[in-house]
Amino acid sequence: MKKFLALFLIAAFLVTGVVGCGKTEEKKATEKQGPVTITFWHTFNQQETETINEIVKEFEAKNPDIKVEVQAVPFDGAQNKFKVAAQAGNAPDVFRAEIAWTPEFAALGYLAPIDDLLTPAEKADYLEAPFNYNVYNGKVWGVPQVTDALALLYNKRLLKEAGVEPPKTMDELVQVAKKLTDPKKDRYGFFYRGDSYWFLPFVWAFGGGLIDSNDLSIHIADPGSVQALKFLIDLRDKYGVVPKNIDFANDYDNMMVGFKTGKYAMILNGPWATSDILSGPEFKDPNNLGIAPIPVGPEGKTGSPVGGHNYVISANTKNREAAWKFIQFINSKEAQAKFAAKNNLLPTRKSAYAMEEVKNNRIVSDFKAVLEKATNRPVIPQGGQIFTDLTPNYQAALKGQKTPEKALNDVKAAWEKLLQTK
Amino acid sequence: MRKNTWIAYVFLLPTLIAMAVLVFYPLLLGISYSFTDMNQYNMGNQFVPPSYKFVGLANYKEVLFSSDSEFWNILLNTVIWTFTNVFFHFTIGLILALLLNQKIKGRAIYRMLMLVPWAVPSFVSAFAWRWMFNGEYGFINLFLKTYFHLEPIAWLSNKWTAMFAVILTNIWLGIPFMMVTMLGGLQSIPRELYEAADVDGASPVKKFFNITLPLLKPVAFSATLLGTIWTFNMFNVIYLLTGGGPARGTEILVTYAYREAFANWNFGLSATYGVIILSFLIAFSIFYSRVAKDAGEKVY
Amino acid sequence: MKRKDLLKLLTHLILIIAVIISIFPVLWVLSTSFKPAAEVFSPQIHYIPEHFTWENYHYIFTFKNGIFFTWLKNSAIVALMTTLVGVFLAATAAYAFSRFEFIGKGAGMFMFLVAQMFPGSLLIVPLYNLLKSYGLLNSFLGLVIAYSTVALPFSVMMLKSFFDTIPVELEEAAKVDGLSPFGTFWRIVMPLSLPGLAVTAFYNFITAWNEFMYALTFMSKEELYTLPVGLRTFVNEFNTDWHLMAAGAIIITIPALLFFLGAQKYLVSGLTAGGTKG
Repeated sequence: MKKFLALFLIAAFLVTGVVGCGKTEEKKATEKQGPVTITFWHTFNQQETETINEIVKEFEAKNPDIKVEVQAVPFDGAQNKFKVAAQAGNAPDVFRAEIAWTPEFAALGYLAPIDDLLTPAEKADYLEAPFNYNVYNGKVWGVPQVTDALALLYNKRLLKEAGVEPPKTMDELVQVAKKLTDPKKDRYGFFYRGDSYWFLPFVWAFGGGLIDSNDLSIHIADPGSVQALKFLIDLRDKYGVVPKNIDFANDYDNMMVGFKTGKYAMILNGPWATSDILSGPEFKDPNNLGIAPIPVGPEGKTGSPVGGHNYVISANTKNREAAWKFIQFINSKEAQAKFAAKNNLLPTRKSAYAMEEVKNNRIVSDFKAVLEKATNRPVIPQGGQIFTDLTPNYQAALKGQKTPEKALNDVKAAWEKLLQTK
Repeated sequence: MRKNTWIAYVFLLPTLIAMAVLVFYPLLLGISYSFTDMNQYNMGNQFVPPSYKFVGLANYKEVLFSSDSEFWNILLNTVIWTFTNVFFHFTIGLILALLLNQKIKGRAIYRMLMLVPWAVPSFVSAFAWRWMFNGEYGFINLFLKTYFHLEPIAWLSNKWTAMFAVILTNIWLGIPFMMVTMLGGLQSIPRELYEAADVDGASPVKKFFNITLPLLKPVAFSATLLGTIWTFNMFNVIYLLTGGGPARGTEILVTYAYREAFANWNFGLSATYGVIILSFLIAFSIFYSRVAKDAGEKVY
Repeated sequence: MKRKDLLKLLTHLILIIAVIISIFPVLWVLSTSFKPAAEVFSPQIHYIPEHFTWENYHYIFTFKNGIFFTWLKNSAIVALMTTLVGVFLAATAAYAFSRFEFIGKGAGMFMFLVAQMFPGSLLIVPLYNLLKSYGLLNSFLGLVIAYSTVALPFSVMMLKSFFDTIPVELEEAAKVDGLSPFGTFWRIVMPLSLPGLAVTAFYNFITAWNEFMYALTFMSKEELYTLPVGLRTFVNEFNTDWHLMAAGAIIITIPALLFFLGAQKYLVSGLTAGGTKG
């Protein structure tokens, strides 16, 4: 009977094992023969994925000795998925890393530096602000794939009907928004989110700051930052140009719907939102979408967080040259122009901006103008984590649970602790 | 009951191995991390050896006693969350079970439809409820506006309305299980007892308190014990509905620990939270079982 | 007579309200899945879509060369295997706890309770490394074993109580007839335990079918994703494609509901016997 039991157990596990292990056997077989295979994980959304898949096919056609395994990874969880794999030596050869993740991965030793692969000519072709996110500890760890910045988006028709021009200063923002606000008709001149990323432009415009990349000094509790927070609260309470009750959990969706239906005349958002906006009733004519730089604050300062993604090569790659060749192709000026034309994404190469389809893309050009005045976020390993404490405190201040000074001082204290963990 | 011990072990072997390797080994590792300052920089990986240090009870001191620790607020949230949920799971589940225990037409259909929340994947339900509570376009606000002419409420932006929202969602999710369990318990109470009571002229209320409730005790105890453990650690609903917001207003221990583990990769700290959660639940189980034992029932 | 009817009416009323509350959110998701993207957020309540469309389902079934069906197949394989492995592990262990006295029995039962107390999400990194060292990453077997252990504690506890209700005399009789312990387990006890086994099977199936985190971490090839992971690709960096997500959600729910309806008959009686003795 023991024999029967043992046999049964072995049989059960064998069956499940055979079905389960099937896939991994196949993989081993292909690796032994001819072409080099590199793995590429990306975080593109549905529309962008179509573009990258085309580009990858072109690459494989031109490079028969390199096969590329492309994996789309859900953005939420991608950072951790990479880190979990990397610490076991299992990271993909090429990864599309958000800019805030790059210094972190580099500090953890999960990336391979590319200083020797990147020629000075090629480096000079990249825009400076996005490129900076790839430099950490004196080495270069990747190249920027796409860059973005928050801009002031406005509904041209609504502004024209109210007889106002897009605001250039924060004071003008208040005046213009007031003319566009009519709570009885459920219309507001402006809208902001409870997500602290949307707070950043105001922080810089009023002279505040985040964390200095070089000396790690913290500026989030500076008078300028506090003033920025007070301004946002005033927009809602004193001037009434922003809805009273913003749903923090759904504010991105609500902001977009409100803008697309003409409920909100002005919002802040980035190039990634373009295709969504253009699908809305107010923007059937794309020319109705106005894109302006963030208004300047009382001291003439402005700012907008530069975001984006980089292509990086993992430290455990066995095919560094092939990986680099691949990156050069999918990040060539032609590829970037494709993304600009199809998905309204901003290229990071100067040469891409000279190409016809990019030059003629009004939306891309307008965003580029905003990008030129944009501000680098701190290029530190903890760059992505600063929002973990900033957002709850920002929300607490917005809800009146903490004074702006207390909220931002709490953030400063939390960041001091955060910076010590490296 | 047989005494041939070794056969028992043979039957236990597959489970024992699986649990030991995949649950208890990582669990013990996890507990040990709470005594270190382990994070992603010193945990070691394929390329460098680990360099984290033993720090004794420093993590526990920080979580429990440091002035800027969020722990006590989060603990309060967790307790409110757990007990409110389990209370309503139990009472509503019991009421529905009592109703379904009657001989009424279509009870099989009622029962089947009321079990739907259990079959739907919890992340689907979480997204659905989050959308229903949307401050501008959600169904609940539209309903209140259309039929009651109430101003829209930003449910997920205020701590107490957000707590209400997540608790309501979790109650919706958890009632089917409780209802079915109670129904099972009800159906195993012998009819003769009720018939005898009828002969004695007992009222429905008297029958409920003297027959139903006492005989339901064992089921009730184990269902509520399990319900408490599961609810205490219920991650999905809060993570997907509010992410612990607004301003950490709906944060419970398990969502906070997850954030420490995966947003900050601070394993030492998150393991500390894990151990604290474990301790609370063990203490509760022992206390609860003792209460049950005093009432004469074996709970597990 | 009248009072009885009134009570019956009240009972039906309450039950109808309970049913509406139970299924309404799901019906809403169903309705959303037939709405075009622009209609998902609308200032008026639309129970029935204004512009009914199949395009969301069409997109899901055709995008990336129909990868959705691969994900569906993967989920089905993983969930069914988990059910088999999980039920097997739970049944054997529960039988031991139910029928035998041995050292460590009390502690063993308590340990199953404890195993449910430590948040599983905190154990991902050690688990990943463990699976990697056994070559079980990117394999269904690894995922199946991980899921089985998640579902085990409750399964064992429930099955044990269920086995407790089966009279030992049956097995004594079998023993007299010459059946071994395993034979009695397999030929006598198991067939009598269909309701309890149905509950365990359902629980294991649902646990595996709906799980997201382990699947995301342990499977790195898109062709090996399960449905929940695949659906998550509709959640973008800033926004979510709700119309697609709704359609995907309905598709994920249908098999679960079907399995559910099949096991439904046994669920009540299964949890019954499991419940009475605690």
